[in-house]
Amino acid sequence: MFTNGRKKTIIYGLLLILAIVAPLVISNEYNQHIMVMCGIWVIAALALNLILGYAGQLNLAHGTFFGIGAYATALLIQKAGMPFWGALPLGCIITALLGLITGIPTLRTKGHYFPIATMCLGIAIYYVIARWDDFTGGARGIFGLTRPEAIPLPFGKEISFESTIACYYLVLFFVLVTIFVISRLVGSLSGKRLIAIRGNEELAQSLGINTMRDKVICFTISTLFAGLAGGIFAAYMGTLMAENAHFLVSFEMLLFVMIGGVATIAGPVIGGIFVPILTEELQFLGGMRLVVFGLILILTIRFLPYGIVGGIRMAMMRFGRGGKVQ
Amino acid sequence: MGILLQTIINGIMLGSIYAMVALGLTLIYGILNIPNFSHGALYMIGAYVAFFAISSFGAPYWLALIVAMVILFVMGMLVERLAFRPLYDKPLINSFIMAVGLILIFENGALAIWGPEFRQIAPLSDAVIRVLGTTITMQRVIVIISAAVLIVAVHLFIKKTRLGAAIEATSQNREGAQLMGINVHLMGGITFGLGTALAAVAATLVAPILLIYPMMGAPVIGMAFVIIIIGGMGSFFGAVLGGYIIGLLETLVSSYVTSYFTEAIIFGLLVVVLAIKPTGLFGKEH
Repeated sequence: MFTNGRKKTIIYGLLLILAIVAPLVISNEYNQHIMVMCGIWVIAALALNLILGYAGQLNLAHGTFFGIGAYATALLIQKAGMPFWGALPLGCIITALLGLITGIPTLRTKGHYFPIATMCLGIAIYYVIARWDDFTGGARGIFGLTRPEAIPLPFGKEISFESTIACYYLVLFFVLVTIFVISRLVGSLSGKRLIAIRGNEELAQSLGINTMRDKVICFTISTLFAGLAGGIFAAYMGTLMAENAHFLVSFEMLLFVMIGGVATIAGPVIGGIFVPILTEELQFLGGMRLVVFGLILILTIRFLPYGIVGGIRMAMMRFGRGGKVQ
Repeated sequence: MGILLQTIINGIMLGSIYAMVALGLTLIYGILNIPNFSHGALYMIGAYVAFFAISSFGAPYWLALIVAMVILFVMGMLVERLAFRPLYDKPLINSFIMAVGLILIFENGALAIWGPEFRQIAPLSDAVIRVLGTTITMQRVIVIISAAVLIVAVHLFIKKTRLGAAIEATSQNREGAQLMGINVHLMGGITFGLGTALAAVAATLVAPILLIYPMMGAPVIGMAFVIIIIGGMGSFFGAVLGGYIIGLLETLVSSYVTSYFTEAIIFGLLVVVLAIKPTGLFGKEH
């Protein structure tokens, strides 16, 4: 039999192949669109999970940072005339800088104050975006963004992003980058320090961990990836509305993380894919759909606090396959 | 002068609403130690209950107010019992997420059942008072006076009755209260019900002036959190005073500075306050 590590590599390899061939099998344009959206939500959910799952800080402005990344990228393309490939990284940097600037004051707060402070931050930024007509287009939003420019290849060929399937591979690439960076970060010593902070911040501090510095770095990286998801979202959709930066967006991302399984890498990936697909499947419920999601969220937190991943681990423990439960 | 007076009256009226909502929020926080994000959604349901009591059952305004209060009291107790109590010994974050789930259910449930349209309750009195060349509607005066009476009543209830004393004891020292034979779980439920009922009254009082719609709780709950953070979480007078201050500030800023960025300024201000003092203006260090 294979060792545990080997088994994992094989499973991940198979999943990757599945992700690569999936759009070739699913030829329906609308379903491909859903898959692109899932990819974008996975990036955002992975980013939220970094600050929520590992550092234990519920950032209710996460959706707002997603919106900031989207608006920054869109405005750089539209107002500054930058190409997408320059606007996206710069948009991420702007988001991360705002994350750094706002993270320093808000992360000084502890316990109940942090979610409230970030919620207020999110509301304040939302209103700036929604009301600053001259700069952000206000309630009307931004229209007519072009898709990312084609990447030239040798021999006169190029990778064009006009089709949904090409956008899917673009998003998949960024999902893999995000998974790679975040799993390396979580596995490193700073990841262990973050978990120590989540467990007991005073204790971590007394062990000589500069908790404030670690939290700020974690928050900044988290907002960077939220901005990345937002920037891709803007270029892919071509239109933006203030609602894309509303603090309710944070709630949706929270849903992905919690249902998938908080404090794991697989959790936000599963949640970011499972929840939007479920949303599509539940279209027939109309307005009651979000009510059902609210119920799912409540039942999850009550009976399955570590989401789908936690549930699988628990089942594996019970049947003696040696999973680990946190 | 007339405009300034009108602005101040409007500010005090808005402040009365904020004070009641924030008071409920702070009472719940004091006992259960959870910032109940779903408080705004319950506020909204309170307004709908009153609306339907009037429009479907022909109840007079005051009766509708009492009905909304009683129903939301029961609802608050149920929410505490079914949603928050099972999470009491769990990590804090679980309660936050529970509240987010409740918001999704209440707000979208209201949207699905009652639709997005705005509704209004007819004011109790159409009378207009003329002072210093300006006019003030009677309904505003009614809101201000009723709120003040109610706030004093809640204060007397907590300070002068046995039940109130038990609630206060529980919020000061849960274990101690339990050792004295106080049923702390029951106190939690009653306080949650009381706080929710206060929100329902606030919503019903303001419904003739502002409108009733499924998302009406969102702006109010945001402000209520600003208030209880400034006033110190769990503090009775902090919530009341903070409510009036923020209500006045909001109307003054939107009349004299900018009506466009009022919310951004107030919520931004809170972030600045927290940056300077992470436990709020009058909050205790912990």
